[in-house]
Amino acid sequence: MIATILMVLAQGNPVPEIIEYPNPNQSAVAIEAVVRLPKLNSSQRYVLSQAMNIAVQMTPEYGNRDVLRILQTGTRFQLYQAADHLRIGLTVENDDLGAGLSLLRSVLTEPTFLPDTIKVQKSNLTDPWAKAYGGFISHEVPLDRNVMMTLWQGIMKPQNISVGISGQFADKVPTEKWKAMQSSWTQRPQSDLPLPFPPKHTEMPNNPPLLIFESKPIKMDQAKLASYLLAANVLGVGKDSLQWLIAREEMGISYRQESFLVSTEEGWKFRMAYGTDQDGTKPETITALKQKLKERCAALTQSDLDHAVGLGRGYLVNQMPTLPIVLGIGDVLSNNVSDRLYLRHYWKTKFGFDWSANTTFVLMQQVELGNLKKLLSQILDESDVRIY
Amino acid sequence: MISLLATIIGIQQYRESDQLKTILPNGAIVFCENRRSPYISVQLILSNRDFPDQPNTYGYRHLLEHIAARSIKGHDYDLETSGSFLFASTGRDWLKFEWRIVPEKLGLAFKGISKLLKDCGANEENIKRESLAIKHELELATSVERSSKEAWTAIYGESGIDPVGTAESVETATPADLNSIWQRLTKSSNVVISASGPLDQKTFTASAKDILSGLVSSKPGKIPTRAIGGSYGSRAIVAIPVPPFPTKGSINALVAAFGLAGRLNRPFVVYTPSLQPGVALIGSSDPFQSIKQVTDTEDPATVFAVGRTNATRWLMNRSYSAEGSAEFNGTLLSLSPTLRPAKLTNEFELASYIEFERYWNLIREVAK
Repeated sequence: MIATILMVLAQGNPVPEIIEYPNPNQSAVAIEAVVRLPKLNSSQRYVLSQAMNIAVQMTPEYGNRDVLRILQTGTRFQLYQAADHLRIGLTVENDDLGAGLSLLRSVLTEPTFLPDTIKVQKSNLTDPWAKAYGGFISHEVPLDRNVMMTLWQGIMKPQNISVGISGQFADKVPTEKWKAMQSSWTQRPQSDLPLPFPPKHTEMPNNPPLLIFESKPIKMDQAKLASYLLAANVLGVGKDSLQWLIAREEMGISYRQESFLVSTEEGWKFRMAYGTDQDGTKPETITALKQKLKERCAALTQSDLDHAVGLGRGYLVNQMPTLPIVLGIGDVLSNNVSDRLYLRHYWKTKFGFDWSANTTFVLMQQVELGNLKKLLSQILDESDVRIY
Repeated sequence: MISLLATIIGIQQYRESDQLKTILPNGAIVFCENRRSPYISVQLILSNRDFPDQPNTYGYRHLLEHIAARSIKGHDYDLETSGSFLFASTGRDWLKFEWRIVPEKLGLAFKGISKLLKDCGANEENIKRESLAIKHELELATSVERSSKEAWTAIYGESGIDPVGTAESVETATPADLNSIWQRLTKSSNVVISASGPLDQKTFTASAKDILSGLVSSKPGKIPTRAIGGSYGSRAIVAIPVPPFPTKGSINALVAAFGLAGRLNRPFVVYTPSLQPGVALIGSSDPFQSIKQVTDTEDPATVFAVGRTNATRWLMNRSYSAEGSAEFNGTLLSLSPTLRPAKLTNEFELASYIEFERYWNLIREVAK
């Protein structure tokens, strides 16, 4: 025991890694924490989503007005819970680089979760399409400050967190400032996360129903990314995609239908989603839909491949807002420095290769028609069908 | 002052010399702006400012939008293959079709506009297919969209009718009904072509004039008004009436709306400028946000200051992208040929605290 403590003291407290992305042309500093999540049940998911929103409002060190003062005027913390990670991002003026890092550190290590902030009334904003993009299930449970705190502390461990920072700064300055804050990252005893068993919960059917074809987890590399995006273009991007032509125009069972890549608790997957009605969820309708998709995929021509590549050119080169990746951001090619850093940093820490729209487009252009047909056939044959 | 503010909030300013507005003898308007962008946003805006939707045409323009956007065979395929895209939307005062197009394919946009203006494609088969699509679309409406509809009805009653319609109302449309509305929408004084992106202003304007000069000549009619009859507020959303844009009243109402938004977590503001009285919807996507708690505790002077900054930012952000600039310039011109964003930049700086307070108090009253 004594030896263990001595060893920790000798090494100093570990701090989360920080990666610098200097950009002399950036007018503000973006800071993004990507927090890897362990396997969580639906109750823990719910508590975590609420905890995240509350944690950024104030800390013992930074009151609500301090938080607003440090953030660049008119901006807020960027928060997103995906199946595999949390995004906690902020943008600050160049002069506030140190304050921004310190605020992030305070949010991650010492949230208040004051009872007053936990008890405020909830809103009922809903989006019937949300489950199509969702990668995990969340069930509402009563909120308890101790549970929230234990869950937060159990997840916010240095080894789970990677911080990215971009903007105008001298080499190593952010790293040194970040490491100087190491005393906040005290060693905490290893304990299980609270709420190990979710309460029994009856899942209410979505209104309107969503029909989803979901692939097995994909082990992503750059070539696969390009191929799956191309498959998404064929199936569910744009107004001449197969899902649009078949489900919307031929069968009349859907207004909105999309194909995309999404992070789930089992890993990144490919989904084909349809907002539909009761007729669209009947087994015979699903069989007919799948059959039509298979036939049309088998009959794809070089012209259809060119169309699919064109759609890729649209979002990878020409900034069209149609990128079929669900990651809680709007347009990956936008000038939003915060979103750009988040995508870049998440991608690197998750997949180990750099996000590059140009490289992805080059690889997309190299996909041969035969290989695309094989991938589409595999997606259609191996996907699980889910109805929400 | 304008350029200083633009520098502060990181927005690129465009010179007047980069923009060209042309009012044709028949009343149609062409606006174009040369700017750096990977694409040109070309928008065809068809105004109905002087003939708003009625209960017996409820949702018909929305149905027209659906049908017209798909009326040119192979058009989407050609656009998408070139890395371009066609978008369409329906507002209370206009229908909008946007070609977000790579410069070398600009001709495709003009071809599409030309064909659309001649024929919207309304027939029995298309009405049946798109009525079904609208039924499915309405079922996917978010709670914010539903709240917006409720707020308009609460504030303006029947004259606050939404442009979307219902599954039942759009089914009653006939090809004759839709063609009649289309003819009215495409009369010269209701048509604006607005574009922004890497383009040559003179060449673009000449091409647009070629298309628009053949339209049936017309003059805009009198703008109807709406009488305020109520208010709207729920736990997460409040809505206030906004006087015609850009009157002083509308500026002060927007300062209050953006001021509240500036004090909320994950805020949103839904507002579209109109010459008629409109609605600003303000809410929070944070499930733990109580608007009432904010309105009860915030200092109005702080809200006023935040509101002026955020409203100005909203105005500037509308011109941040090629599509934003084309839309903002185009929709303002579709309201009035003299309305230009550049003329509005200082308006929020000149907002009146006393007038603002009137709208802030209204927000406080409706917040629950």
